[in-house]
Amino acid sequence: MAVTILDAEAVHVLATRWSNKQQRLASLIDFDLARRVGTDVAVVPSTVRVEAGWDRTAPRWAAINRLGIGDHHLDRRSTDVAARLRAEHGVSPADAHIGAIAHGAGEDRVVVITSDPDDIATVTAGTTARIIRL
Amino acid sequence: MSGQTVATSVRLPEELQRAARAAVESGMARSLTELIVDGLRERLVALATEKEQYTDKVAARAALEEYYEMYPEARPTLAQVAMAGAELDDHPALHHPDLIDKAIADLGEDAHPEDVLAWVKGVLAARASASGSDEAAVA
Repeated sequence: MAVTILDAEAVHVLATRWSNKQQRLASLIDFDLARRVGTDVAVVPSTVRVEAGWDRTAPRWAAINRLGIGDHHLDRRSTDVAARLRAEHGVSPADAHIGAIAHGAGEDRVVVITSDPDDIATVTAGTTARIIRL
Repeated sequence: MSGQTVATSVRLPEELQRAARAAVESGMARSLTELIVDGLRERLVALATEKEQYTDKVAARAALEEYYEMYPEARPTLAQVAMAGAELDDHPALHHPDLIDKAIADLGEDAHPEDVLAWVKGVLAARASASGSDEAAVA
């Protein structure tokens, strides 16, 4: 399975008219949905949703809610990993959450779509996560 | 096994039956019936999951089309989608955007992005093979 993770900037781009990165982000989502075979899932970490203000109950997010991007929630173990990453690297809770997903992915392939590849590279160091700059 | 059971007869390929008996005799499975039931159950669950994933994908595709209607400027070209796929999968087409354009010229604007990438991969493989043949001829 492959997991594609959106960061806060990616979420912001998704919801912003005339963003110059919107077409690029759409092309990444479009390809994932066009795959004939595979169990790719796109997720948004819950902390990223907080940072980006993505409230699934608010009307402005209705169209984006339907794109099939699931929420990723921290459990006890991944919270510990995220807390450690934040303490070690001084990154935001959302970036630490992304790092925790990558570290807990096991055999799953992880792709992170981000506007901040440096911080994401820091929190995913030692994993096979692929980083795509938005 | 739980619940009511029903007797049925199944025609099995001989080799499969022999392999199953061997598994039972070596203690890896309790019975041939258990192996058949487990295999059937796993296959059915896999089919249900596949169907669910397909349904989710269809719904998400419809939502993406709605999204493009709301944000027409966000709709990417086929070349952009194929290039995005190359980036996601670290596909060799990533370093050959010219070949993506050629693939689309050949396959048409309605081509599937995976077919575009496959076309590029095929051309690159043919090139590599030709260059290998040349090297062999020189040697």
